[in-house]
Amino acid sequence: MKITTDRTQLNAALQDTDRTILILFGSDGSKSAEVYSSACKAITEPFRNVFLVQNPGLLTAQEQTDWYSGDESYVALSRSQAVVEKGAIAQLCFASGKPEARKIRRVFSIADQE
Amino acid sequence: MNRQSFLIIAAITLATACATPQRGRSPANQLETALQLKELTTGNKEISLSTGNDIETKRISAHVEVDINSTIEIDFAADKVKTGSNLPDSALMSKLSEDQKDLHQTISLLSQVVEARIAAIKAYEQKKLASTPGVTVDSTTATGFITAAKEFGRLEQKLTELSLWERGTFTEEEQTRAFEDPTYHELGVLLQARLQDTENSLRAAIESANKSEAKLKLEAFLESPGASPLPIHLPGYDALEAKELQIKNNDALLMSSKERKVLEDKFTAIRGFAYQAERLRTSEASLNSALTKAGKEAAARFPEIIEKAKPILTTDWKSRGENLEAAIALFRTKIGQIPSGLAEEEKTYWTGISSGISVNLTQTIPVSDIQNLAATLTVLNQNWQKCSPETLLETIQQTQEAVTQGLAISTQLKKQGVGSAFGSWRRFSEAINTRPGEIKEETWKAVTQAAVESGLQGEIANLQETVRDIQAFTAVVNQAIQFASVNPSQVDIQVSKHFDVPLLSAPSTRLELQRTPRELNDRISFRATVSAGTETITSETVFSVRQFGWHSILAPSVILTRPVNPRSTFDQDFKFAPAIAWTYKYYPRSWEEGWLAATARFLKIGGGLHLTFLDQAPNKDTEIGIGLALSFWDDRLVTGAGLDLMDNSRTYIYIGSNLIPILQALGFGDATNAGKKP
Repeated sequence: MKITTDRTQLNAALQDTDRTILILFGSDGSKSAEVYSSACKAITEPFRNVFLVQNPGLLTAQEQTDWYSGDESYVALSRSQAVVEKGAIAQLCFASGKPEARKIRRVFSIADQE
Repeated sequence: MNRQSFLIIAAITLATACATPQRGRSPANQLETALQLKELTTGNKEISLSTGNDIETKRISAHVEVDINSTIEIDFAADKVKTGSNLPDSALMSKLSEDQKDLHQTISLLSQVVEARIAAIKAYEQKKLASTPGVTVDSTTATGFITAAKEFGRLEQKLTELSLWERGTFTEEEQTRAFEDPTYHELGVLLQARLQDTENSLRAAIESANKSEAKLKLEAFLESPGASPLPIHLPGYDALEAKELQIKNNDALLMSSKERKVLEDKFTAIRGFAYQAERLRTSEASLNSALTKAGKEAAARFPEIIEKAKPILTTDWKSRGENLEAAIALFRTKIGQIPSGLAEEEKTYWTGISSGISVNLTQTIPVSDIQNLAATLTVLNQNWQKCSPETLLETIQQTQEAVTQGLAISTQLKKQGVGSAFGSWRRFSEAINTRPGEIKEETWKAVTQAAVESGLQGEIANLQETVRDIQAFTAVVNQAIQFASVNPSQVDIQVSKHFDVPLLSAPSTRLELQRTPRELNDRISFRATVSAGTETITSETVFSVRQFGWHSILAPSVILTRPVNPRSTFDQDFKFAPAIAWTYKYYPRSWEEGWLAATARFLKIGGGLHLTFLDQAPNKDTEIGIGLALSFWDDRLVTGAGLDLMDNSRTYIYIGSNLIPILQALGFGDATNAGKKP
């Protein structure tokens, strides 16, 4: 789910305490968008959600502090919305720069265990 | 210096000069450099039969003489032989083996991940449904979502963090395609294909290494005048029987009646078996009847056991293995096909199901192992059909290998259970049936029906029959093997079967002269051959069987005796008498120096006891004399002194030679010839 101006769906996901969430920060055409595209194909489990937040201004101050590591970054949240892992988007890519679905799945697998 | 002293000194000098160590020759090839031969004497003294360790300094004795009771120890330095292919690509095989192991483990883990994923999804949806007013759901499943999700996460983390993904085994494109498939179906297909490739590569590498790996063959033969060369057992390099020890010692010349009986029995058994074996070889008799008539109770049981194993040996295993493989492939194809008309989510579920079953099936049934066993059994069946005495041991060995293969497969199938392959099928079925409205029951039934129509059920029945046959085969043939492994030694088949031993793991061995029926002056030819592909290097050494060190000799001779203090004119003459002398002699090696070696070499002297029948007292019927004996030049001259035990222990002296009987044999001393007979 791409979040540009309205974060309703993000809020809904955050309210569901059975879901784990991967939030990618970046604009269209960015590396984050490529990773988002790969994640949408790989992640179809109903209890896992992927969001591409293109406007960090939609985040609360606290969320920005906790989740946001700058443009082209990501954060993985557990069912209790605790930050499981965050970092540069390159960490979810091969050395060549292409998105790596295995690493996306790995992040979710860690979040699911929290 | 008088003339006599001069002659003695000159003779000793000459004898000593002959003892100069021989220079020997340089090794003819790398193989001779690699071979280290040592003679171990009965006194545990080691004598190197070559000096130096490399091609520059090594010298090989030109004429190798060894003691009749010694052991020749044979060591081999494989690193000194550089053939084009004596080093198999162990790094490649090691990597392939590691990949194979990892892939097996990954496929197993993937199977668990797929099942855990479905369980988690199901639990999540049950939980959501549970919160919908008016809908009744499985409360246990619903409350188990967190547990299921955590288990799924745990397994998936393990899968995604495997080092396999970082080793370059898979390209970025392959990994992307595999992990972007949410059902893991693509990953299962990728792993399975890679496992197949890896196993093929490993099999090819092993076959290639077996074909091209340098092999060492060692053979030794005893060559006696007028007899065919007799193969000598070299432990680790042949299937010959180790013979009993026979120490050449004249202290025990006579053969006991028991030993004679054993020898006669053995000869009779061998002769009977050899006759039947020859009939078999010339196609006059079948193997069964030949063995039945071989006269040995144990051998007679052999055809009976082979008869029991016949149904197993005559089964077309190759075709059975191929059918099984084809059925599995067909089954995979069928379950991999997504039924038409499914909704997107149904397709997702269906690919998950097909992936899980495919992975489970492959993991459970060792198709390639069964195929290998099928090939082995086909060859084995042919070999038993044309079995001859020459190939009997080899065929037994091949059967033993087949039994080992069969046991491995049987154990694996027994452990995992054939039905377990379909456990996941049932579980998926249950999972889907409990999700009414999401996967249409009609669709599921149609697909199940298609799987039945593909002949899967029949092949499963065949597979179970195969398992039973493998178990029966291993039981029956193993019984035959246990018996057969003992039997050949009982009938003592002398088959010269020398093994090719991998050069790099060539064991040290020994040639025990005491286990051969050698005689003095026999020769032992020892041949080493290294072959790698078309390249062959050979080295041959001939050992002459001699006596060295102290040995006792029992020598009959004709002697002339005379009392020291004659009492009458009757006593004054030297009279002939038969005697036997038991003397100890020292036999020096050609390179030995010192006074003992020089004296022994020149005089060939021996000392000991003698016993003789005298004729010195006219009033005595029997006179036995006993005393000391000295022997020179291999009993050409014997002399000594003793006591006449029958005549108040009168002393006497004697002189004689072992040439006298030869003189008699030539006819001298007859009435018609010169001289008088003793």
